[in-house]
Amino acid sequence: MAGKAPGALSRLIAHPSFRWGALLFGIIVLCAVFAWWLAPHDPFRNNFRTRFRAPDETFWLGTDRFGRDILSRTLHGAKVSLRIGLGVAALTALVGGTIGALAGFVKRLDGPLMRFMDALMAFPAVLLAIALAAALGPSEVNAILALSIAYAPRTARVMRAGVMVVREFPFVEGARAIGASPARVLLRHILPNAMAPLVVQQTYVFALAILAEAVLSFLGVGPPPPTPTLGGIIADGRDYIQEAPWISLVPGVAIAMTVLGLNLMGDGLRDALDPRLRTAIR
Amino acid sequence: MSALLRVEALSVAFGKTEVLDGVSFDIAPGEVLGIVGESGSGKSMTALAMMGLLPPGGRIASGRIVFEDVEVSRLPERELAKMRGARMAMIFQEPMASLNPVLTVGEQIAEVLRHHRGMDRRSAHNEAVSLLKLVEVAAAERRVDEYPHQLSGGMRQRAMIAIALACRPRLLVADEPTTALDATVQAGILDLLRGLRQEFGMAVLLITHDLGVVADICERVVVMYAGRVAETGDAGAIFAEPGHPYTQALLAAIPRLEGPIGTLPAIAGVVPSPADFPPGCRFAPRCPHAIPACEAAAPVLRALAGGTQAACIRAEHAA
Amino acid sequence: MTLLVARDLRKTFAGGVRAVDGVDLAIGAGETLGLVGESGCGKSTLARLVLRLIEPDGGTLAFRGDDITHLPERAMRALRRDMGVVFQDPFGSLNPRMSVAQLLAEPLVVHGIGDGASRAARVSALLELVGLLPEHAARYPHEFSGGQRQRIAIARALATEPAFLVCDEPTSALDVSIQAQVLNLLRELQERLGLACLFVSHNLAAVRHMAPRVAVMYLGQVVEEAPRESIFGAPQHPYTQALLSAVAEPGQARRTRIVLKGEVPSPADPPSGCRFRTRCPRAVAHCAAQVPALVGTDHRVACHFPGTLD
Repeated sequence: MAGKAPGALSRLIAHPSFRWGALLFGIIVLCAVFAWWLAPHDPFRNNFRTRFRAPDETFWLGTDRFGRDILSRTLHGAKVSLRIGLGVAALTALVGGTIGALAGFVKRLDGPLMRFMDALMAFPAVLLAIALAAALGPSEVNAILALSIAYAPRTARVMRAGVMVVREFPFVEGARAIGASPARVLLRHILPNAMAPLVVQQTYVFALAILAEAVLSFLGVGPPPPTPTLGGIIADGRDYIQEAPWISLVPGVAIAMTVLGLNLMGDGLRDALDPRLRTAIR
Repeated sequence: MSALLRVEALSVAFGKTEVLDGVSFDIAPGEVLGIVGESGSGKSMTALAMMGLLPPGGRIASGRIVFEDVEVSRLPERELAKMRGARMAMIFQEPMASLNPVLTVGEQIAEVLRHHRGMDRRSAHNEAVSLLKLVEVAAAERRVDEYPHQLSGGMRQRAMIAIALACRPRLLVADEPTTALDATVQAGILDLLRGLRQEFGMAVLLITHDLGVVADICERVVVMYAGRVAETGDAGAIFAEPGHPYTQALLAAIPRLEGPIGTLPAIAGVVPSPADFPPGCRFAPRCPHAIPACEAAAPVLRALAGGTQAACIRAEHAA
Repeated sequence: MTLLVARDLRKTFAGGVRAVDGVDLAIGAGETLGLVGESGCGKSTLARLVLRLIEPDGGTLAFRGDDITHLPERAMRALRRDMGVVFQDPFGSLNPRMSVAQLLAEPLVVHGIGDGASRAARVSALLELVGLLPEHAARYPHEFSGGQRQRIAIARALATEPAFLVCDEPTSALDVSIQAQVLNLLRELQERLGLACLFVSHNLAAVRHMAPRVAVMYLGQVVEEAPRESIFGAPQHPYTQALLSAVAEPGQARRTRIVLKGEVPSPADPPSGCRFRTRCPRAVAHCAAQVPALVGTDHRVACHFPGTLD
C-alpha cells in the first residue's frame, strides 16, 4: 500500500545512504545559506594584485583571473545553484505533478496531456533548457523557468503512474461508493497516497537541475555575471585549466557533492517509501 | 515403522520474537498429515523451517528437524538444496507466483528433471508430458508447450504438482494448495493428491486454514495456535471429540451447509501476533474455560480420553 | 415495495468478456439476497452494477421504483447516501491516511449531514454499533486487525443509514474465528436496522447463514434462484448440485462428489444454448441448441432438465 506505514520516518533515519546523503546535503545547504558569514572574502571584489593565486593561507582555495576568492565565490555560487535547483524542483512538482495527476485520473485528458509531455521529452532535457534559456534571456528566474519546462515531463510521468496505481485501490472505489465527488476522490484519497514516488523523483530533479544549471551557466545562458553560480565559476576557469586548475575544480567538486548528497537521499527515500520493498520487509 | 520426518521441539525466532515455540510432530512414510491453524499460528513457518527456507532474519532457535534420519536443521545450504526438490518438494498457494512466466510449463518441468535426474533434453520433455498426464492435465501434449498465463488456476496448481513430483519425492509439503481455487477445482486437486499418495506411497504434509480440506484428505491433524501445537491426533478423533477448547471453538465457528441457522458461536477477541503472545496458555484470553492457572504456565500436550492429545489443563472441563 | 429491481442487466468488458449477461434481480426492503458462484462468474461485477459503480451496457436498474439506469452522475452521487458497500479486502478498502474518525465521518461530510459535533457523536455511535470502542476513532487503519478493519468498513457503509447494503465477499479474507464474528455482526445489523442486503460470496455455507433467498451464478447468468431451504435442500440445477457436492466440511461424511468435466469456458466466447452444457452430466444435443430460460415462481431454474438428485 502506498500509505505512510508506521515507522516510515524511523526507517528513513535508519537508512545509511539517506543519513549520509542528508548529512552531506545539509552541510552544503548550511554553507550556502550562511555564505555571507562564512565567506572569508567579498566574492565580487576584483583585485588585480591577487590574480591566479594558488591556494594559500589567505585564499584557502585560490583566486581567479580577477583576483576573486574561489572559496567565497563557490559558497555564494552554491547559494544560487541551490536556489535554482529548489525552484525547479518546486515548479516541476506543481506543474508536472498537476499535469500528471490529471492525466492519470481523467481518462479524457490522458492522451492529449501525455502526448504533449512526450513531445517535450523527445528533446534532450539539457538541450531543451539551453534553447529555452537562450530564448528567454539570461537570468535566474528564466533559468528556473527553462529548466522546469525541460524537467516537468519526467515529474508528470511519475505522478501519472502513481495516480494510476492508487486509482485501482479498493478504497478509491469505496470513496466513490459513498458518493464522493471526483475532485474529492482525487484530492482526498488518491493524491495523499500517490505522493511518495513524487517526493523521491523530485530529489533527483533537484540534482538534475543543479547539473543542468551548471551547463547553462557554463554556456553563458544562466544568471549573468558577476552573479557567481557553480557552472559560471567552472566556465571562468575553463581557459586556465592547466595553470590554475583550482578555479574549475572547486565548484566542480561542490556540484558533485551536492548531487551525490541529493541522490543518496533520494535512494533512501525510495527504499523507505517503496511499497513493494516494504511489504517484503514486513 | 520409523518416521519419515520428525520435528522435535522446534522453536523459530526472528530477533527476540519467537514465532514457533516447541513444535513437535512426525510423519510416517505415505501418511497425509494436516497442519491447520489461523494466520499467525506458525503453520507456514513450520514448513519453511523444514525446507530450510526461513525468511531473512529467521533462525531455528532450538529443536531438531530429522528427515530420513538426517538432521536437516544442521545441513549446510548446499546439501539442503540437493535434498529440496529431490527428496522433499513443496507447492504453494499461489502457483502463478512460483512459476516462471517466460518459460513453458514443459521447460520448467524438464529443468528439474535435467538438474536432479540428469536427463537429456528429449527424454526430459517426454517425461514432462507423462508427468502432466499423471496430474490429470487434459491434452498434456499441447499443454506442455504453453506458458503459465495460458493455464487456469487449477491447471497451474496441477503443473506445480507435476514439477514437485518430477523427482518422485518422499514427502510433498503443500502450503495452502487449494486456498486460491474454487471449491469444484479444489475438490479435483485434493482427489489428485489422494491418488498420487496411494500410487507412490508419498507422504503429504498439508498446511491449511481450512478444516474442511483437512477433514477431506488428512489422516492425522496438528492444530496450531499462536506458534504452538494446541492439539494433535487422528483426524476422526479430532473432528468427533476435539479436546482443546480452541479446536472445539474453531469447529463450532464454521458456518455449515446443514443444521440450525442463527448466531454462530464466534471466538471472541483476535488472534494475537507473535510480538504480544500472552503468557501461559496463549489461547487463555479468548477461552471460555480459562482459569487463573492457565496463564501461569504453558500447558504441555497430554493424551485425552477422546483419543487426541491436547495442550490444555482444562480439557476435561471443556468437553 | 421492491427496493431494487434489475432487469436484463448486462456488462461486457474489453476483449468481449461478457461478465454479466442478462441478469434479473429483485430485492425487497429489508430482504437479503445471497449471490453465490465461482471466480469469474460475474458476481462481483453484478454487485458493482447494481450500485452503478460500473455502468451497465444494457438492461435497467430501478431503486425504490425510480429508474436509475441513466441517472446523471450528480444525482447518482446523492442517491449513494441510501446505498452502502463492504468489500472483500479489509486491508485495501480503507484509505491508510485517514483516521477512523475521518473514515466514518466522510460519508456524512460528503452528503452534508450534521455539523462537527453531531458527526463526532455519530462516529462514536457507529463504533459502538460494530463493537469497537470510542477511543478507536483517533487511530489509523494499520493499527487494526483484519476483522476490526472489516468492522470499520461496515460502520462506514452504515454511516448514512442506508436502506441497501452490498457485501462483496466480506469475510473471505478473514480467519475462521473472525469470520464468525463478522457474519454475526452483519446478521444482527441487518435485523436491527431493517437493511436490504445483497450478500455476495463464493462460500455456500456463509451465504446459507446470511440469506433467506439465494441466487447461483454461472458464466454471467443466474442459473438458479430459490429460497434457502430449496437451494440447499432440493437444488434443481446440476451446477448448483455440483457446487454443493464439492464443499468439504469437517466432521461430515464426504458427499458423493459430482465431478464436472473440463474447465469453465471463456466468458468472451460462451457455449451456445445452455452455458453449462459443456460440463453438465445431463447435457444432450438439445441443450446446445436452445438457451434455457430462468423459469418458475418461487424456485426459478434455468435448465432443460431440472430435477433433484436421488
